[in-house]
Amino acid sequence: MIHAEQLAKRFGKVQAVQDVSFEAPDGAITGLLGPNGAGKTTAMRCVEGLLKPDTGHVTIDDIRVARQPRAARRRLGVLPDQFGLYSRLTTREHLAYFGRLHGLDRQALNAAIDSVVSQLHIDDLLDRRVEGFSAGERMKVGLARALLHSPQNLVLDEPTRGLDVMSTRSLRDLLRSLRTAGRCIVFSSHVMQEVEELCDHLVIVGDGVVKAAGSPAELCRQTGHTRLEDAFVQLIEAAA
Amino acid sequence: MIRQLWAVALKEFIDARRDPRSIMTLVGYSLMGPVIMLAAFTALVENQTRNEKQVAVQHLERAPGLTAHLQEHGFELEALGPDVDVTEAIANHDAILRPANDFTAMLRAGRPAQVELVLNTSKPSSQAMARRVEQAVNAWSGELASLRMMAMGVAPQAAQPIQVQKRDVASRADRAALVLSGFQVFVLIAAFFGSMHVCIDATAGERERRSLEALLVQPVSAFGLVVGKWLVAACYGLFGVALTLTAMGVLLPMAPLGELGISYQPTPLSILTMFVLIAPLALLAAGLQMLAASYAKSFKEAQTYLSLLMFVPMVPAMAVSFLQLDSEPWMFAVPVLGQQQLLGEALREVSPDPIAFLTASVIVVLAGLACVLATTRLYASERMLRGL
Repeated sequence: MIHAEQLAKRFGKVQAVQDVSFEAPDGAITGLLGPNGAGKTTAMRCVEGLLKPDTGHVTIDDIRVARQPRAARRRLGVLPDQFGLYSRLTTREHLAYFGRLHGLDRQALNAAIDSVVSQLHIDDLLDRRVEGFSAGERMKVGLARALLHSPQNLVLDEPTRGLDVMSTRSLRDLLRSLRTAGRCIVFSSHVMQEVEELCDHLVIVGDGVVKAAGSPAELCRQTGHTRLEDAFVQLIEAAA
Repeated sequence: MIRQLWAVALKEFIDARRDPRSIMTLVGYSLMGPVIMLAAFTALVENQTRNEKQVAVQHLERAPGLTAHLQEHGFELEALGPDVDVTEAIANHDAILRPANDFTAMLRAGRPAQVELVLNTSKPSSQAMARRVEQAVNAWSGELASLRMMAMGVAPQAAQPIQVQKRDVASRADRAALVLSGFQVFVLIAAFFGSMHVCIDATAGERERRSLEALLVQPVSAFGLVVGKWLVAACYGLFGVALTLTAMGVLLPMAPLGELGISYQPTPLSILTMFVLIAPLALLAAGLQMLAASYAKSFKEAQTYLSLLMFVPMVPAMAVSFLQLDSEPWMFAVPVLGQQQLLGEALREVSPDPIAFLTASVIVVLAGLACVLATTRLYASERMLRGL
């Protein structure tokens, strides 16, 4: 469970996030939705503990991120945008590296690798270097890395960018099965169709504040639109 | 934290080993120094010991005594025709002698006889040859002077009231150290070049490939991350130093150093000693380069910083070397300069002073640690996310 409370963050003269609060419960997919520059990435980085909010705080499974960043991160898996892989390492070396950073011993590491490999069907990628992988394959390696220490919470930053239909579908299926397993999933996006299909709960962020929150159906009802895209545009522009 | 540090070190080691550019900078720069030195020595010796004696003479018949003397002293003479323009002919000859028209007459009269020596000082070979010819002519002139004085009943020594006797107390090892001092800079630089690429790749490279964010969200301490990267980079610096020293050990005996009046026979033990003396510098080199590269947003930017930075620590060492300052105790306390002094002593085959070695080593290691702490602060701060 991820809980953000009245986050605010300023970089010099730019107020990147002004007032963002949301709650991402276990067993649900929460979408952070907003136009470019709305403050999604800054809010996500506060959740990951990379940025310290000027005011407000984030808890991950009731652990305050700013106070115990390492304890909080142990319960968090992150898929950053562009996946951030090392092209000269193989998939297995990626997993071993990050597993060791999480303190897994050899036995636990091997078990964890076996588990994510079968979960993501990446047997054929395991001993190849990441150099030359397609976007879909890179996403899978990045996701395997994020899931390796079986975190209760998963944060994905625009995970479908650059993916083809097949890869997007397999990602969607995987996220659904993680939801069924009771995990807490937060992802940022600006692809309406994807968000509508996947998210139980949406947080619309614009100009650094939460403009609206609710399920896709609730947001449509609230604005009187049938399409989420129209509802989104109205919510963003209304307050501006 | 030790486990994480080890994980980082292992990963960086594999990553660097597979990077052809890391290996190329390491091997290329490490071998460059010894190869340049070998080539320079060989060329130097060849120039100095080339002992041809050839001189062209115009109007050979005007100075039979002089030409006989030159031939006696091993000169090959080539007669030039009377119509030849010597300013043009000097292009094909290193030196040309032109006795004056009245050369023999003046000699007989006991007055200074003129002989023109044509040379081209812009050509080193011409300069060297002209010097040899001049020496030979002067020697003959001296002989003639002695004969004249004896004929006048004066002892020839009367014209030589003072005689300077040079006594060189430098040992062959001292002279070797002076000649090989250029080599010190190559060894010191190897500690920097060896780790340069690894430092960039592990910091600015990580940022450029966008893998930094994924790494920073792991439950690791910034200190563990930085130290892991630092140690691997320092290892590459050590490879660089080891490779340079080994190449020196193999290549220098091939250089004709004996011809320069010096002897230097590196033994495995002396090479190993030098390695130990320099080794601590690798920690500072890696720390300093990591700190600078961590500020860069891209690989290129980091390369620019480091290529400039590399010469900063070299400044004291180069200054002392150019100003030819004598070794002083305080020099051991200056990073890099201290290592250079230690290396200089090792080349002079002076056994290293433990106190000097400890001082110099503790200081560079502390300076390296200071860089690591500064890098850690940077990694733990939000500034690390700039540009991501």
